[in-house]
Amino acid sequence: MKSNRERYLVFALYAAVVFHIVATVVTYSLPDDSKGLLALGKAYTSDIFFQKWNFFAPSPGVITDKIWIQCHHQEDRWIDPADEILKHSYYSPLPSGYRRTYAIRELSTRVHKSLKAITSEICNQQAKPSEEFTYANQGHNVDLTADEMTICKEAFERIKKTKAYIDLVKVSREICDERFAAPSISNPSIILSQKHPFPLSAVADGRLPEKAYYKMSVVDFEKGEGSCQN
Amino acid sequence: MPELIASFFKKDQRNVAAIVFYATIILIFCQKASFLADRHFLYETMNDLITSDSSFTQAFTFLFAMTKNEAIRTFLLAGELLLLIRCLLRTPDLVSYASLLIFSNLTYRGSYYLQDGGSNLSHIIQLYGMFFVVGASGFFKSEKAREHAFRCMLVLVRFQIIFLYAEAVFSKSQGILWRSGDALFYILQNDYFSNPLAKQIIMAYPWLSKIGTYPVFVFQFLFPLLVWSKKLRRPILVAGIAFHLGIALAMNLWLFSASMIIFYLSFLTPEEAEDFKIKVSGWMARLSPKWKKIEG
Repeated sequence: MKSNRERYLVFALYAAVVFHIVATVVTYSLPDDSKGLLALGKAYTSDIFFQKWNFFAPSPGVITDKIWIQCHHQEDRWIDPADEILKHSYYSPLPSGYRRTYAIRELSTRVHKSLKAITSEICNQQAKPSEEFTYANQGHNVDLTADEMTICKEAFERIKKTKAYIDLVKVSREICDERFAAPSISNPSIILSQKHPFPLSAVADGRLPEKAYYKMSVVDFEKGEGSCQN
Repeated sequence: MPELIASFFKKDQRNVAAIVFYATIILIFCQKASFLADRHFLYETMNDLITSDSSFTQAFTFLFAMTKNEAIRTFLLAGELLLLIRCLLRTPDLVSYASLLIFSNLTYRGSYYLQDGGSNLSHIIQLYGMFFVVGASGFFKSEKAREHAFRCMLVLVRFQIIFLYAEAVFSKSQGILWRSGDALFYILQNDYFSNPLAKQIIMAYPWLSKIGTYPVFVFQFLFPLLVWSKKLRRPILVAGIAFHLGIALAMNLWLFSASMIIFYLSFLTPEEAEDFKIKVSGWMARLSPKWKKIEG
């Protein structure tokens, strides 16, 4: 190297590399409530180098969070916007609008989580394991259980103020606007549902019905009623 | 000393770094161009998803808040696409690449709901690309110093892949479904992450789940160890490509798989990178007679 300046700069490059590697490895394993210097390191990795590939481990996301929308242009028809896109993936690896399904999944999952938290806080409800699903739980992951709880009116009012719900309404409205090539006059009605996986034990026992067996939890925001399952 | 590490310190890494850099830029361009159709869905900032009280987030809150305005979002997306094209046509300088990173960061944060693991990964590798730009832009006068910058980029890209696999193995080893070999059976029942055909197959033959789940463990555990070996590097990379093509086909995670396969290019030796460059130039020359002029 020709000059000391370049030597120092090269040293700074390597120092940055070492810092990044150490910071990533150390802070990635830290709890979220770390304090002081560790919190600064955590902020560096989580803000700038946010890592988002842990959806499948340790507990894979096996529940399909879904929404059904009733656009006010067509009063009687409920549509599943994600399913309409996903069913094309049978023939085409990347169907048009595939990424929208990510938005629908992310938002409906968040609203479900908030509903469960708010229901247990406001409605004073303890989740009860669903009998139908207890056998699925034997020898398997708790993710497969379906804890049921009834959502009270106050919880509906609270959930409608959350960012996740507001965003979900916004996405639903955009779907309706695009579908009918005209802006909606009012917000669409939304039903939130969850599709649980068919338990392996039932498949092994030969209990797989011709039509796939699914447990759905339904939350109708318009009517303000429903049951929530995690 | 393993071949890859030995050649890393002895030979010119410019071509290897350049291949990874430009492949990443093309990948991000395709990804962001596909956002144009979904630009109405780009409205979310990820402020509330990350450490809410972090100083970094607070310092840039006003920038993130800008992405909520649709006109600004469209401007940012168009600006990013133009800067990406500029990167492909001529060697980027520090200022234009830093501008690209700012634009990319804002559109990335503003489109959180449309992202998957692949976008996340390519976004991180794009940040590492700054080391390539430092080496290629004339920031350093001496060739030796430039070479160090290319090495820095490659160290980070390789670290990222190995860290991802190591973390995945660690996390999976904690999960009951992974340990029992039933993870694939359940994952493929999630509508969002399964090809309908793959779902039908796994429901008809659930024992395939064990055949699919355990090799994932083994592969992810072995990759960080074997990729440095002279004899086993190519087989493990081919296994990795097959593994990621399998993920793309069965789970529709095309961008993640494409990203991983592209980042595998960082494990090429300088000789392989040279061959790769010659082949790509040959293909481009056949596609367009003008390419030779550009290349020249």
